[in-house]
Amino acid sequence: MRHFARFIAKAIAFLSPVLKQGGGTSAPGLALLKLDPKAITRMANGLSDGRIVVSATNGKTTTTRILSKIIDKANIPSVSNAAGANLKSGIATTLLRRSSNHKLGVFEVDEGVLPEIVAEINANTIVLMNLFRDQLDRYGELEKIRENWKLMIDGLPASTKLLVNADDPSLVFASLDHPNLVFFGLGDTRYALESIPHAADSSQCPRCNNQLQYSQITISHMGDWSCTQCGLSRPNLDFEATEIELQGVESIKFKILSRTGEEVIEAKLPGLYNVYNALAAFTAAKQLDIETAVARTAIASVNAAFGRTESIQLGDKKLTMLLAKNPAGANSNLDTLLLHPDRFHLAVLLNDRIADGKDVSWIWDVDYEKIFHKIESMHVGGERAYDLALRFMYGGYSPERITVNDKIGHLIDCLMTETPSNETIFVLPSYTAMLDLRGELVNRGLTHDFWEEGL
Amino acid sequence: MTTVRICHLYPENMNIYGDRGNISVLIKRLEWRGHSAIITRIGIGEEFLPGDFDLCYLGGGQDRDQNIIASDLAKKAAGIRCAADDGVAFLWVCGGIQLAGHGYTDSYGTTLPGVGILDLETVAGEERLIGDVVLDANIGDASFPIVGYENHIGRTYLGPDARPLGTVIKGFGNNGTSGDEGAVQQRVIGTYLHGPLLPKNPILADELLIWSLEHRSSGKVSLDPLGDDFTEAAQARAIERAHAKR
Repeated sequence: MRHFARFIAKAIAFLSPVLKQGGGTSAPGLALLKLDPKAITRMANGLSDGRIVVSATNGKTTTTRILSKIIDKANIPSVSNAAGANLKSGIATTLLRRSSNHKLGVFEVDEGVLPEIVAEINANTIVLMNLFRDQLDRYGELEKIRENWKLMIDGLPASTKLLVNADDPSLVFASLDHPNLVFFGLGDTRYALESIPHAADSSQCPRCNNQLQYSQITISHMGDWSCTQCGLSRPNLDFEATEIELQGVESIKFKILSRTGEEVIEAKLPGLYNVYNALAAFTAAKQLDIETAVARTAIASVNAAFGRTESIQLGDKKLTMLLAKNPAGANSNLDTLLLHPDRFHLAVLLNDRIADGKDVSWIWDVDYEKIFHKIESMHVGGERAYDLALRFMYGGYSPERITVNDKIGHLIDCLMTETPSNETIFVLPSYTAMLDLRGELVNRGLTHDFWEEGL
Repeated sequence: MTTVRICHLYPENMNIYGDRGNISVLIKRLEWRGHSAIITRIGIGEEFLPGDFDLCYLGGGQDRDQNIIASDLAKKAAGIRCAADDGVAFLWVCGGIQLAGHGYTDSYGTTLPGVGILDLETVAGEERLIGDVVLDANIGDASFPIVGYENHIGRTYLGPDARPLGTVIKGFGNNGTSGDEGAVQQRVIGTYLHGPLLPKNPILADELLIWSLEHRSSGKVSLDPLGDDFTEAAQARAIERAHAKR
C-alpha cells in the first residue's frame, strides 16, 4: 500500500508541471498524505544528517533559500522546499522528490503548522525568526500561534537545537527554558526606527505585560528590548549583525560577529529584513560546520525568491515587485523604498483569496503615508483595488492622482505605456496578486514560471 | 466651525483590525465639511472624564489584550455610562460591542464585566464566525446597506432596550441565529463589523458625526452629502462579491 501511495503521488508529481498546477509543488504530497498519512515521518527518517526547519511570519522563504544555497555550495546533498510550498502537502512533495543520497533536509514551514511538522519530521534544528500579525481570518489570532510555539518548545528534546531571533521578545520568552539555544540579532544600526510602528504587536513584556523599553527598534516590535518590571531582556547575541549598510533597493552589506570571529557579508537583497534573513541562514550554516568563506560566497550569489524584490524588465522600464502580505512586511518594504534615491512609480495590488487572507483590514495598519512624497504616479489594483483607493484617499493622498486598475493585463499595459523610459516601477502585491502579476508577465514572455527558477 | 472631541479608548491594545482607519474617516469627513476633530487617546490608568468628549471609539483586540484592558475599563465604567446618558456618540467595534454590554463569558466560564451602555450579553461559542457581511441597517428613519467583515467567537444576545444595528443579508451577525447584527441604544452603536467599518460605510460615519456635532453644539445639525466614486465603487463591489458564489 505504501509503495502504491508513493507511486500514485510520483505520477502526479510528474504530471502536474505539465498540467500547470503551480509546478506541482503541493499536489503530489497532498495525494500521498491522503493515501498514507504517516508518509512524512517515514520519508524524513532517511534524512540522517539533519532535518532543519525554518519558520516565521516573514522571511522564511528567503532564509530557507539562502541556507539551501550555502549548503549547496558546501557540496552537501540536500533537499529543500525552496519554492515556498510550506504546508504539509508541500513538505511531503519535497520529500517525495528526495533522492537517496540526500541526507540533509531544509524546510520552510508555515507558522500555523510548525508544531505538527516539527514532530512529524523529527526536526533536529529549528530556526525561529519572527511572529507578526498575519491573516487573522485563517489562524485566529497571533497569541494562539505564540502559545502553540511555546508548547512545542516545552516538549522538545534537549538535543534539538533552537536558533532564535533574540530581537523578537515573544520568541525569546517562548524558548528561554530550552537548554540548547543559539541567539542571533542586530547590533546598533543607524537604520533603526524612531518609534514603534502602529502595526506592531507585543511591545508588552511577554512575561509580565509591562510596557517594554527599547534602546533600538528595527522592525515592528523587534529590536534591543528590556522589561524594567520583571527584568526580562534581550539575551546576549551569539551571532550579531553590525556595521549594517543598506544600499538602496538593491543590496546589503554587514558584519557578523560571533565567538569564532567577524565576517563581512554582502547580499543582493535589499532592506533590514534581509539582514535578518541572511544572518539567520549564516547562523544555521555555522551549526553544520560549513566554512565561513563558503557561506559568504553563497550568500553573495543568492537572488531574491520570486516576487520578493524580483526585478523584471518591461521594455525600457524596470519593474520591481516586493511582496507585501501583512503590515510588518509592508512597512519593511516601505522603509526599503525610502532608500531609493529618486521618486518612483508605484502600483499596490490587493487580493483577498485564502492565501492572501480574506480579511483585508490590515492595509489600514500599514504606514503608506511615509512614502507619499516619493510617489510619481500611483496605481491600485487587484480584487480589492477600491479598498486600497480608500486607504490612500483617507491617508491624504489626492484621489485624482490615484488610478484604479483592477484588471491585471490592463494594469501592465498602462504601466508600460505611461511610465517614461528608464524609470522604475515598484509593485507591492499581496501573495496571489503577485502570482497573478507574474502569470501575466510570463504569458507575455517577460519572465519565467516561478517553479523554473534555480536557487 | 465646530471641533468634535473624539476619545479613542485603548488605542495601544485594541487596534487589531485596522481600527485606525475608522478614526481617519471620522477626522477627514469632518475636515471636508470645514469642521475639525481633536483625538484624545486614553489608555490603561488614564482617567475618562464624561464631559470631555462628543464621540467615543473602542476597537477590537486579541483575547490577551481584551483581558488586560477589561479590569481598567471597569474603573472607567461609571464615567462612560454618564457620557452615554448625556448623548455622546459611541462606536464600539468587535471586542468593543462585547465590553459595551453587561458582560462577556469566555469558554472557561469566566465573565469579564462590561460597562452596560448596551443592553446585551455575550458568551463564547464553539467556532469563530468569520467572513464578509452585508446588512440592511436602520438608524432612526434612515435605512441603508452596511458592508464589513466579521471574525468573532462571541455570541451576542440583545436585551429589550437595545435595537439591532441591522438585519443580516450575508454573514453571521451577533450570534449566527437571530439574523441581527450589532446594537443601538441612545447614541451608542456596537457592532462586530470591521474592515475597517467606516471607510466603506459613509452614511453610518456621517450619522455618528451628526450625533457628535449635535452633542457639541446642543442643536440640530445636518451634514452635506459627500459623493466620491471610490467609496461608492468599493461598497457596490463588496455587496456584489458577498452575493456571488466564490
